[in-house]
Amino acid sequence: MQVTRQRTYAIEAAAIAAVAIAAAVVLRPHESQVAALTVIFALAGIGLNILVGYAGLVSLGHVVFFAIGGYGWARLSEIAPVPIAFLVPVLISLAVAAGIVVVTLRVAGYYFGITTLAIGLLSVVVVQNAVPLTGGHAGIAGIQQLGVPGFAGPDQVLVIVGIVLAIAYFLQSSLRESPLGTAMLATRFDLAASRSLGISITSIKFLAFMISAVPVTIAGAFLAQLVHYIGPDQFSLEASIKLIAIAIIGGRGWRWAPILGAVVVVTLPELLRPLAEYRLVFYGAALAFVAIFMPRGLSQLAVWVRERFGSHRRKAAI
Amino acid sequence: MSARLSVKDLTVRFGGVVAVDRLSLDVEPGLILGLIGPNGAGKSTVINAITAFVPSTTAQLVFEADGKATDLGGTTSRVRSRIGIIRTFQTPRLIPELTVAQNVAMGRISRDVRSRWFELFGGPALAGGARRRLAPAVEALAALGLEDVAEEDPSRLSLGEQRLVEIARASVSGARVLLLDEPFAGLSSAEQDRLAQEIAQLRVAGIAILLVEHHLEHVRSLADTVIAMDQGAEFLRGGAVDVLDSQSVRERYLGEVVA
Repeated sequence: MQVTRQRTYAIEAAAIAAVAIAAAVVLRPHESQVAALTVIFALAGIGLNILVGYAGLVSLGHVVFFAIGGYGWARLSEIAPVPIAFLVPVLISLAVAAGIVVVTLRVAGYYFGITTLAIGLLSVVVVQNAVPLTGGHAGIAGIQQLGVPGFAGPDQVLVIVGIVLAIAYFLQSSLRESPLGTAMLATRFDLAASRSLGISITSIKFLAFMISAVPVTIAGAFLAQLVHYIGPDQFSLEASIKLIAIAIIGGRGWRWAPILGAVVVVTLPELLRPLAEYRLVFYGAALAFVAIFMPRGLSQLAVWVRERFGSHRRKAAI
Repeated sequence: MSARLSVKDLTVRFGGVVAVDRLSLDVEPGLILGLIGPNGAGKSTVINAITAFVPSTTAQLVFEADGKATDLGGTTSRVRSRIGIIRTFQTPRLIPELTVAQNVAMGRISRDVRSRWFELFGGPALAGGARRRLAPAVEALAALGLEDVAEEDPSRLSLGEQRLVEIARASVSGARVLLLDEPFAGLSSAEQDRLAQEIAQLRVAGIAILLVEHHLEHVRSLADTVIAMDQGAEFLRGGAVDVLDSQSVRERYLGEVVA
């Protein structure tokens, strides 16, 4: 049973990478741009899916890791080899995440969300004022992309992020089967049972927060690459809400939530460009709809389809 | 392996209400201590206090194992659980979105998180390891006749089955002291038989068991010693048969008027 599940995840991950590469081949540049943006947000969504869906923590401050990844790449890719430009921001994010958890350790539930909201807003202020490092309001332009032979422009970002997303997807799904992932789910659903099982709720929260920061940081680096620019407007409250919305609309904890959530939250609004000014209304309406009618997000549709048409062999969406 | 839990003068106050009043008890290895009493007598509160789910005062709360005594006064639920004091809940507390087998394996979770953390990286080679990790859980389910539902969502099980899953979880946990809170409630008679068998086996394995239960026939057949409580205080203690057949228990607990 476990073996086949792992195999399923590996096959699905390979399919994700294949679709991304095929899309890079087939799509026209401006379509690739939207596709790459979607994949970048799906990658970040994996972090939020682990945080919100596995551990049940809501963070409105994860843009801070987005920013660390973006600015880190912007500055380091000029002076250091590629792996360093990814790795150093990830390490910085882990340190910042550890700091945030230590500060918010005793803050539970909604209050945790509010505290992280403050952290997200603070990070924007820091970005705006640390001019030598971030370029302040003007941001940093002319950021270079990681090259892929045979591809150019947004296509090469799409190919690389597609592969990174596939790996992250496999790790995310494997985490859920591992002792650590099941312990996270226990703390999300039942604190009393968790305590009675000897789970250290604090360390599980700590680990979930740390792990969730990693894909968001890497996604931030790719976002900077895709648009060749990075500035404070990319890390507004809207970006934080977008990240959370991906996990919730997709279906907290479901392994496809980051990808399907990103399609709804990123691709659809891009296709509805003329209505761009109403994007926040769209997120609000979509979140309200999900909260009222589909508390388990799009995963509920999957359950419905399976129960309607599929085998009755197994269980919930996961 | 064998461990004993010694509690002296356990008192729990909820505001002005004394829910448990200076209760002393010893849970001994290989023996079952029954705790009976009408609803509201404070039986579950005793379990909640021993597992630090509610604050309490005790003159002594000592866990003795391998010739070493540990004072548990002031420790958290987590510490008490990790030392081997494992409880079940009146309402089964299974984790949704995990399979039944994964729920049973939660009994060992605090150890697995540390010793098998690398499973989070997945991979086919490690998947075999995950299966080995879940094997004791599946075995424990089989012992309770539940091997067919190992891969099910726990919410699809009957209340009785959920309770049995909780027992399976406790049995793989390496519990040395087991606190069972009305395990027979809501079980079919077949399920009750399986559970009684399982509890008897845990007793033979040397686990010290505290059994809070309303089904007195099971207390009679399983327990060695019984404490009868009313309004937070003990009013009778002794051999199971003696206590259950005593006039005071029948009057107070069963509401029977004995001529």
